[in-house]
Amino acid sequence: MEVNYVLEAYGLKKKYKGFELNIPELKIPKGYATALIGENGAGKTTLLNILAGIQLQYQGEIRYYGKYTDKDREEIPEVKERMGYTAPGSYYVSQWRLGQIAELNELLFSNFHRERFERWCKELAVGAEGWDPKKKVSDLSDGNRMKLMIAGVLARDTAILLMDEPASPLDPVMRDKLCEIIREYLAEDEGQRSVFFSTHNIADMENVTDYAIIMESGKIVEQGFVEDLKEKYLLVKGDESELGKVQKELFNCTTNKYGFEGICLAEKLDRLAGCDISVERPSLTQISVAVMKHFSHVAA
Amino acid sequence: MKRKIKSYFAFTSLSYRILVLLPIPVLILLICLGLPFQSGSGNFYYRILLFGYLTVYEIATDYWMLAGCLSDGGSSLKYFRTSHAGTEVVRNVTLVDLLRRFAFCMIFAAAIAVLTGEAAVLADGLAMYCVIVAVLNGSRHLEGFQILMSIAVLSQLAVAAVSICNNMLFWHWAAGGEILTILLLLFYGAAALILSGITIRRITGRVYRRTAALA
Repeated sequence: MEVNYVLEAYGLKKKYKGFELNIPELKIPKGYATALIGENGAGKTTLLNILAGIQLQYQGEIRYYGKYTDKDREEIPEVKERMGYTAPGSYYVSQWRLGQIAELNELLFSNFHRERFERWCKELAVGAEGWDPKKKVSDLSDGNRMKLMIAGVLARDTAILLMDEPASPLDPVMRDKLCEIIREYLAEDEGQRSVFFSTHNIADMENVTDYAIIMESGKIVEQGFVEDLKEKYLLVKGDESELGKVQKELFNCTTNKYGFEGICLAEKLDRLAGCDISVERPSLTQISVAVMKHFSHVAA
Repeated sequence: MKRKIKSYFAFTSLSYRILVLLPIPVLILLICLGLPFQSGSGNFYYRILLFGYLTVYEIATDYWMLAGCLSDGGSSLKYFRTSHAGTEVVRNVTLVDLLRRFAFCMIFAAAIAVLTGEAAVLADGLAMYCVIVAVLNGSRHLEGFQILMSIAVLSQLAVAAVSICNNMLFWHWAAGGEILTILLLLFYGAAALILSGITIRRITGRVYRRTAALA
């Protein structure tokens, strides 16, 4: 299957005290929703900030839409115009009102549509009233602020959404709505749009994820299309008495009163021949947790 | 210029513009016009009082504008980094804000200059602008309104000190009045330009936090 890439990065490095982001190669497929999965402190926000042009101090090269470099990103308006970025935390000045944010978006982005912004604010119920231009950012909860940001990027004509933990502050209903929004966003422009979002809880976003990149300690430790990953890894279950024979082939395993279950590579399945086990297709959540645990510094 | 003003209007709320930019300065100006100004040193204390009030107002009301924008944990200008036009908009907002403050300081100084017939008061107006801008470069590292108010009140001392220095020069060299006025205007004018340039560069640079490690 031929895949085009909306974002490519090579030799990305960024150092902080006690942490180093080191990514020799990163390719985000065009037309798909890519999940960047990693535990806290894995480097997801750092990576997204570098790709979005929020963080300028780094080493490496980035290519946008197959033709622009990261230097072009700072000089050619089109690069950032076609990117929508959302992030949790302090993003808008707290004294601003929704009406001001609409006006500022009109100044900052030539492809911003105010009527679309107001419609999205209503649809996402930003604040109880939906669209209230006098509503202050400081009066909004974390979840409503995230909805406000999502409304802001959806009100623009973009080619890629870079979303840092979009689901974290949202309630379960809104998380489901977010998945629906992402699906509709991707479907609207016949494969020309892409979404790249980070999460440390893939369970909420699994049903919208096409491609997954798993990070740990500033490095990419696994990546691939979800369907390919589900064939690369297997969920192995069995009685506790079999655990001794299979444990060394498993990435990790958990035990309970019914037995054990763990993730292993499909290519190692023949080593488990003769063991009394069952094999199932794992979920992306199970694969991610197993891979992250394998590389994590957190005590097991 | 239209885009610059539009940037400033978008950054500031309507309530800020109505309440903060209009009633209080008009009130202080009316007080200024109502006071018994005379020529000579007799009106010195009134001038210090009015300049002091204006300084407190200019620094305290910055809380609803750019308070904390220079601090590491304060109001983030991250939002502006997502757009190619982000730095330009922040620069426009800072520039128009400085022009507005300059205009207010000079309107006050001009009103007193007309009432007293002393052009030298214009130098006090420029000096007040320099003090305000210098203080804001420091106070914008802080976020709390109470601490900002405290700094604003203490800044009156700075305004008074500068005004005293200016007037001592005139008392000491009364014979060189016009030349001294021109020299003071040039000195404070240059200081105002330099401080304004530094302010614009610091806030614009803060969009990308070039002086701090980014999280």
